[in-house]
Amino acid sequence: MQIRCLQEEIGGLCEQLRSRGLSAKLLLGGDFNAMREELLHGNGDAFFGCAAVAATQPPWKKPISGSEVTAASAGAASCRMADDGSGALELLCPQADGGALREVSQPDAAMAVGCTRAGKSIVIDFIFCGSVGCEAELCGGGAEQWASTREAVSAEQVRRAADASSGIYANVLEFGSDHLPVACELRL
Amino acid sequence: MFRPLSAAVAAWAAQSALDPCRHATVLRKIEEEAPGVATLVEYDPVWRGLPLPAGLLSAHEQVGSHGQASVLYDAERFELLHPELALSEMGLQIPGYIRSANLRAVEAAAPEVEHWSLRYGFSGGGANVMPKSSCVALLRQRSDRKLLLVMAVHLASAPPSDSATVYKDLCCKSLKQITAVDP
Repeated sequence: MQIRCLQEEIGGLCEQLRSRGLSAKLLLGGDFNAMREELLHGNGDAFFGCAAVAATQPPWKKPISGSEVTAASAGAASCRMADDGSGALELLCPQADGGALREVSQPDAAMAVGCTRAGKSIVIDFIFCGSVGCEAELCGGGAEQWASTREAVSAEQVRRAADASSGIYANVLEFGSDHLPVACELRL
Repeated sequence: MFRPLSAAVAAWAAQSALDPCRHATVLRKIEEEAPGVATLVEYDPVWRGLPLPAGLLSAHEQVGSHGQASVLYDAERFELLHPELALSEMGLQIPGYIRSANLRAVEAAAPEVEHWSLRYGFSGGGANVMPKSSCVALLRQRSDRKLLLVMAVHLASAPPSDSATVYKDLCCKSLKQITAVDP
């Protein structure tokens, strides 16, 4: 529901910009407190059936039987995977160019373990980029043309942070926080 | 046995203290990356009271927000279009934060009125749901006047075993708070 609220606000801002003939790049970053798979599939069976979710350490508990869960259809209404095989998440926004904002921070793309929240092997911090009124400049492409992942942390730092027993300790010493930084390169 | 244990606990307490250890560590990373724009969450008043990196201190400005989110930007490269400026120059109504559906509707009808749900920190239940912290800033690159709309968000936390119910908890807490303030 918070994602829905976010989509609506961004959509409204895009409408304002477009209706005034303006163009802008969009940058959305923060702690989403959910894995890609949860944003995509909710927290029902579809979520727990994902390989990345099953591999999470320490493992997630399932909701108590009979309790309310977020349906997979809610995830499908807010997010999708990029169709280029990159593994990037896209936040749907019909008013933005290409109909979505694209994840441009993938700290786990080339790593055996992904982690942005110390003590767990999970990525919950994301940066999304998109645009409005830039269709001609992008020639049918998306944010991947002007934004890309910046490796702000090493694979070894991620591995240390993901450790369930010592990850938070290591990360506080390394980065001063229980989260790892995520970053991207922008070419406006 | 207790002496080494006590020493280890004391060492950890010193290393994990915000000022100067964690603050210095974060500053070092920011200086290393030298970002043109940064979105921060859990950037609370204690953090806000501590200095930014010396080399970037004059170049970065902080933007106001709802909760503990903030946007930092390189003021030599970007100009912040304050809501009043965005409205007068371009006719854009830029909110300072990500609003709930109800807040958007209320502000559209009477933009000068501060809505009760924001005043009391209410963030639960359907059309009142919004990120617990967020910040929206419209920046303009000084060199070519290109616009960059930056949003920092922090969504409410709950494990997947509980994420569908976290909003109900927030709702109940907020209602109790409202009842206490306005019986």
